[in-house]
Amino acid sequence: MSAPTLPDWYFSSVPDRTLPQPRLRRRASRPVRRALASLGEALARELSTPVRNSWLARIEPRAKIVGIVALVVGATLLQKVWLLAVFFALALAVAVSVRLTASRLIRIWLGVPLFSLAIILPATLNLVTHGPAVLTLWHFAPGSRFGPWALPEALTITQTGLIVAGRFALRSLTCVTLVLALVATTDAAALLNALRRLGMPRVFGMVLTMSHRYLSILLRAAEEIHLAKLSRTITAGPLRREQRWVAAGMGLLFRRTYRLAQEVHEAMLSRGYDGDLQIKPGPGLRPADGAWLGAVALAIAGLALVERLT
Amino acid sequence: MRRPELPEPVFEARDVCYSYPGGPPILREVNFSVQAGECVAVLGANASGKSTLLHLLDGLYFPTGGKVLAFGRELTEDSVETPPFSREFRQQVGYLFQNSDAQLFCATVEEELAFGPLQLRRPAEEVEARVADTLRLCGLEHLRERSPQTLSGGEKKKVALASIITCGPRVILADEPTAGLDPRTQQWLLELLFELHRAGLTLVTATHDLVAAADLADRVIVLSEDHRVAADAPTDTVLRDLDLLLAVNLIHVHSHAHGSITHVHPHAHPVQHDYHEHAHRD
Repeated sequence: MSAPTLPDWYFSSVPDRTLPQPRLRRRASRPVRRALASLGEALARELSTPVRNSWLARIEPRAKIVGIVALVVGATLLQKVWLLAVFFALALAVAVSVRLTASRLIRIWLGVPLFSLAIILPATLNLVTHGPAVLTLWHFAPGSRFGPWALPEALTITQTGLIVAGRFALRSLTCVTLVLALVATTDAAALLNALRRLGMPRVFGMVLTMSHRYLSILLRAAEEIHLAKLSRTITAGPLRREQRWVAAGMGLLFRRTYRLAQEVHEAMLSRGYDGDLQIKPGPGLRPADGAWLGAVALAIAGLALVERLT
Repeated sequence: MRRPELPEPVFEARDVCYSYPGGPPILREVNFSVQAGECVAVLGANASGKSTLLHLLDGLYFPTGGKVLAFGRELTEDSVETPPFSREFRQQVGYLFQNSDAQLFCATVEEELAFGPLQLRRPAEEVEARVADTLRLCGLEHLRERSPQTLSGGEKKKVALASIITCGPRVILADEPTAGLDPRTQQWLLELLFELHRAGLTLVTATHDLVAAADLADRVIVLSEDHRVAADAPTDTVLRDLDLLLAVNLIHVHSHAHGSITHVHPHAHPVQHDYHEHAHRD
């Protein structure tokens, strides 16, 4: 085979600085690149974080799930703020005892409960929750209206509103801390297997397993599509063209996802899957698991009793 | 220990045609049979229909024309979904996919190896024993608790093959088994496949790697770029037929310079230097 002949312009074209230079808008793509990279890193970190050896890690996963869910339900039923604070302290003690690092706890606390707080903040205002004013934020002119609603004399934060918000925030913090203790002491495979053994539909369990398994692959594919485009981009084009590119990228990712799903299904069929997924039976419960469930039941019953008596 | 012989032939393709819905033909009037204990390589260039042919042999696709028979029974959607044949067929035929990521979908290596026997309704103790034996056979004990997604390409391929072995198949279909592997893993895989073949298993390997075909196969079926069987003969005969290999795009005429002399020859192992031609540059 003879070597291909390159066209004349190939070596004759040199960078011409007299041509209009593109406006440097490359920075616009940085957030996308960083977001994809951060997502990938976060996922890799979560997937590769080993389960630390602790007393909770040794509890059978089904018993652990039942216990933690019972504690979460208990936290949502308590009404008194001081009791919720005690419950939160209990959850924190569990988290510390299973050697959850402060940085991991803070990362989660800053994310989920603060988001919840943003939702509940309006409830602190007298516009939503009436009660004695704690702090006045704004004075309205007499007779002010907002559409069909008459506004009060002032916009205040109420004591009742603060209690409602505090209760909600404490519940969120407690629940998130408990769930974090669960996932940090149980590897994903054992967790999913336990959920299946607790009666979660098998196909649902399989879908969850696969989502967990293939998320990083699809994220990598999305990053590759983005980087491939970036490697041939000098500057961002007009918005319409960028939008077209994003749509095409999504289409390509969907096609790859679809193809992968098809291949996975074929691989399952090939190894005997006939629609009725069989899973490996796990070990039975041990005395330590019974002790854990008993302790959980005692803690919930104790807190419920204190709430009723006070 | 050699297994009892299977009814012969293991596979039979009779005038098999296949095309994807609305697409061009992928296979045209393909005829061949595979006897028990044979090791057959399906050779062909990219997009010649090798993978599709293996999918047809594994009852994952069904021909749009002609018939595919396995163990004397026609593979149809009904037959591969109806017990007892469906379970027997899946137990007897294992498929090593080209894309290991698609084949490894469980959360850990151990679960991956247990998946097949569990679906085939083997008792739990037997599944445990099969997993332990296969991990030992493939030298994968240290990866037992690992997630397949954290493994290297070579390790994934080993686990994929191990996940088939636990089902105890008597026939293994392997799609480009050596593609993308480093030389040591390639050699390991070929040696293990060869050992399985020596133990009595029937192997059908789709590849365009002539070295792998030469190492492994007794017989070669060549698919041409127009999706027909261009040859079906012993491996030596096919690999010495340079005109055939050139025609089906499995070797190419290679041109490189030594000083003022341009050196031209068909290029592909293991027939690289059987044929030479020298031409002077103008």
